[in-house]
Amino acid sequence: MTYYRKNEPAVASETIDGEVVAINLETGNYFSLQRTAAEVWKLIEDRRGADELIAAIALRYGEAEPAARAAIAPFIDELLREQLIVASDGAPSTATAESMPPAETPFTAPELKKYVDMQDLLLLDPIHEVDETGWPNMKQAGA
Amino acid sequence: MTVPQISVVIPAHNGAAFIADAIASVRAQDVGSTEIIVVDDGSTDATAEIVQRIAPVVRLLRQSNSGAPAARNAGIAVAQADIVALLDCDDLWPADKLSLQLPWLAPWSVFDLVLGNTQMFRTRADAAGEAVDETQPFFVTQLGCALFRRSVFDRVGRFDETLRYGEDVDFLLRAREAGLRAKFVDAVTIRYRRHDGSLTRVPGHSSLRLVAHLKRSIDRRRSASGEVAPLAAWFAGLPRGRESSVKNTKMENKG
Repeated sequence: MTYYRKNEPAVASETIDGEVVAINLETGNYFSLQRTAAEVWKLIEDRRGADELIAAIALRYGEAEPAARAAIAPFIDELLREQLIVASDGAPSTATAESMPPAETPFTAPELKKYVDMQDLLLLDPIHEVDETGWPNMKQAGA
Repeated sequence: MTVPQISVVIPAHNGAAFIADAIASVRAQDVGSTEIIVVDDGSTDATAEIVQRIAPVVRLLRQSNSGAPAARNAGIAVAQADIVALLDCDDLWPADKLSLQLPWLAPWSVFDLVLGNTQMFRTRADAAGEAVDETQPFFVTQLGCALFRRSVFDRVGRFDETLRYGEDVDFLLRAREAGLRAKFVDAVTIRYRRHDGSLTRVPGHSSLRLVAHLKRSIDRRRSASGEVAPLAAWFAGLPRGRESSVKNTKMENKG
């Protein structure tokens, strides 16, 4: 089974009020993932393999697995294309898979909303690389 | 006294060690007439006494400790000039800050604010007395590098006093949502002091903090139908090719 992981440290993301906002600091693009997209993202973060996460979503929505796969596989391809996730050869999560409760809304295909309007600021601002021991391009006065 | 051209608001919480230098760096500008407003945010050190010694050139407001956003709001509320600058009490203006930035806010200019680069510095003792380490200039989203028309605060509103961190990023995002126009000056417009009290104080934002502010921005721009209005491009003056050179800047401590 194929596994994925968030493309850290290039990607920073957080789930707030059920919406995932993810920033690719290398490209300056940021993204919004809601509903099924946010659920798939969470399963990827939990290191569920591709087949496993498709099955979990299908079960949650009472959707036939091939139909869920047809909607989710292109979405995962898009996440890979935008370098938000990368294929992972590491061991899957050892955490017990929590089964997701049945959904109260019908299944909708996951959507990746992409925004490019912060590229100017995000690409200019290297501050995410600062840590407590590092300085940008330190030079010694008088050296 | 005639109305000053620029009001400089300096929030200060226990800034006794540095505030005289910050004020001196404002007074050393060779253009523009400035009004300096220090908002003492509940300091328990000699900040207020030092400022009073420099009086009458400085207006001193005092408040119980309410945080930098509240202190900035209080200072802006009494600012008399049409142009406002915000300076943290441990940072310094380069001597040419106003001559570089002020012309872009002339009455006939289309710009609402001017941004510029930050240079981090620190002082340390060495054999010769004191040495200064400094970084190459780089751009970071923070307030000290900017100069604002006062009208910006009427259009964008106040600094969010509920935010513990990143109120600068929040404010600049809101300014951009409001359609304000920014000029970028490719020069050092703020010298940002790194000292013991600021070891974890990184200018601007961490990437996770930015995610939270972007989420709030997306929510503000999202219509009932779920569409998110794009931010208008707001930088003018960015040299081409700059992105890659800055992006590749690795943070290395050679000090």
